[in-house]
Amino acid sequence: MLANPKRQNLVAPKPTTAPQLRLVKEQTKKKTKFKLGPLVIAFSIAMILISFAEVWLVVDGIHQQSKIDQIGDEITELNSIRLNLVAQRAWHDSPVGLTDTATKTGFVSAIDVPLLPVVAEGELAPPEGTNPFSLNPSEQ
Amino acid sequence: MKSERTSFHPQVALWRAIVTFVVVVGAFAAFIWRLTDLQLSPDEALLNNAGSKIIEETIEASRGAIVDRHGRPLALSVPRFNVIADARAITSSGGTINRDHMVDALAALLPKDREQIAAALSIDKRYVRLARQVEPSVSEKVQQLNFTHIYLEDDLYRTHPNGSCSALEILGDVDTDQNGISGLEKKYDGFLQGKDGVALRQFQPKGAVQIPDGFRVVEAHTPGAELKLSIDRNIQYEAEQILIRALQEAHGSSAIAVISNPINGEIYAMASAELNPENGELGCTSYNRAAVWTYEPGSVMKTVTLAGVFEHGAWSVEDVVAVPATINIAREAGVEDHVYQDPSIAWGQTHQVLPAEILARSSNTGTIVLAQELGADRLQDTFERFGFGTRTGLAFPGESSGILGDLDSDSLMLSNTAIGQSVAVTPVQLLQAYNTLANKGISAGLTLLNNPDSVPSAGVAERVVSQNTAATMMSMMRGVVSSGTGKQAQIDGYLVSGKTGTAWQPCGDVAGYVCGEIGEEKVRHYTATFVGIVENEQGPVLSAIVVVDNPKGRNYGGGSVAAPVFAELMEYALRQLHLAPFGDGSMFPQRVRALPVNEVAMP
Repeated sequence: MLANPKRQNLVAPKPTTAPQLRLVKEQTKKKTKFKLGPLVIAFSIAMILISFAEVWLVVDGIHQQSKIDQIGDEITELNSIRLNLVAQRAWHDSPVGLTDTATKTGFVSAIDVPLLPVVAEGELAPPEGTNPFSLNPSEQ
Repeated sequence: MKSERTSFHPQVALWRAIVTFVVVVGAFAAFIWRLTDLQLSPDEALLNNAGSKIIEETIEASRGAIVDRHGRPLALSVPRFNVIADARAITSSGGTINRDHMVDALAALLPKDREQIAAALSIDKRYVRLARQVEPSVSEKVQQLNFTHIYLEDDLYRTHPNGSCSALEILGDVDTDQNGISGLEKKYDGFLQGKDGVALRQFQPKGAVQIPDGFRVVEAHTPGAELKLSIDRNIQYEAEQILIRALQEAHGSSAIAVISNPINGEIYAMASAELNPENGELGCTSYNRAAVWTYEPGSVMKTVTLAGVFEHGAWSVEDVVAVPATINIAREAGVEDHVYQDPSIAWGQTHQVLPAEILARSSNTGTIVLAQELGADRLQDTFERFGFGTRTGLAFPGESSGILGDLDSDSLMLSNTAIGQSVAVTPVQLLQAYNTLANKGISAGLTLLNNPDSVPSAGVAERVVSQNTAATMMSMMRGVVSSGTGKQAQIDGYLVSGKTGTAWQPCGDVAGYVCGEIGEEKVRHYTATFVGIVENEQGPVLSAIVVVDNPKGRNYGGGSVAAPVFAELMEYALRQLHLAPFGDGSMFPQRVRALPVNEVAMP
């Protein structure tokens, strides 16, 4: 068996022996044990954000309410129009309305239509008075 | 030195934290305490101040519509405007408002004259109503005028889209605040009214500007429900028109027609018309005469009398009756006997006739003979069982119960009541009685409400007479129309049964039934009635009563005045309700199916 040439180049690294040292200073700048400053700042920021959110919610609520009111007004107006149309339709559809429309259109009830009886030739009585359709003024 | 200034003292920091915590918690506690205090014992001044800025508003619930059996509106509420004015502001405006011009312009539009409007605008009030529920065209013009301190206010108006008749006597009316005051509007007021809602509207402390989002509905309104009647709008209209024509022809003072389904009691039309004695005009009545008005019905009651006779077994339908030309009934001492007469029998003679012919000829003496066989107690029981003397299941506002006296109280009571005199009934009571006979002896009551499942809403159906008695009476009533006094009620293609009635009415100022004399002829106040039932292959499908009061023409009887009106009404109603005739309609079952009982040769 021949030895693997690649394995001959693999050499284990030597461990680093240099110590990683850092300078430790004396803690002289520490002002608060309970970190109240950042807490107050964080709380204030949170409150401001919450306030903004609340303002936004209120404004949005007002905006939505005005939209609802507007839609409500539109519904009321449309309902008024609907009711008036229903009443108008009922009138036009009713026997009274149909009669009224027919009369306005020019129809007359059958009872008012004069029925001309058939008269045998020579049986028609001579007209009385002047002829209103004559072109001769002396006959009118 | 420097290290001392920046040195950390844990004790100090702890105290600071504690103090901050206590201050914050204390502030919150004070705030919560104040809130609790205000809630539990509110400051009166604060409350008044705040309350004055919150207005409680009523959200008006619209009144439900009344529709016919096909859903066509008979009465509905539509939005209208009231014209209102801030009169105080107009008065105190000095010369900035041309008041005369305003008054002239409004007087030209509103249904009030100039003086009335001028007076209204002079009132020292901030709210003055100039006109209520004006037409939309008027309110538009008022708006276009754009007068300062003249406003339009929302309101509702009850309209009847079918015209001035349009079953108004049944529907009744509402006041300007949409409260039912008569008819069905009153009876079903709670059903139609709905429920008003409540809302709070908040305003800024100063001025009347509404706070955004300051409108809150506390309680939602519930609109009134729709009332569906059994009335058919077209049949109702036609009935009204036919009645007006009938009154014109008969020179009568009033007329009534009620059309119903004899099986479930649903009323298709309930019309009444009258002559206005002041101006001579004919028109629909403003009140429901069919339920409110009572009268002596005359011979139409003979059917009920005979039903009692057969029901109680007082006489058999196959046994002939000895009918005299006259019957004398003795009254109190000193007063001459009352004479009942059958004009078709020669004076002093007696005819042997079957009960069916007694009814067909409407014989007074024949009916009295049978009533005497029945007796007062059993006749009283019969009338009461048929519902006379009590209000019908309609329970219409103002409905009369009629008058049914004690038949034993007087020597004439039995005879009079048997032929329909000395008893007061309403037309709806009569129709209900005839419907009972058509419905195999079971009274289903009458109703003006539409019931899809055909269950009568008037009450529980009850048996009044046996099926056998009902069938006998139906058979006899067919004879009245096919060969008796009701021939003019025949309708081609259908089988009609019924009874005529020509009753005398008291004369008002003059005591008794004779209102005067012209020569030897007595002048009477008659009332012509026809009550009938129409049958096709399905059985009884329609029933109706027609009453014409005080006809003064040559014809005044139930057979000549009321029966033709009945036929005309029924022909229209049968077409409207798509009730097919027998076979192909070319037959005349009235003549083909004449019943054996009428064909028996009279001795």
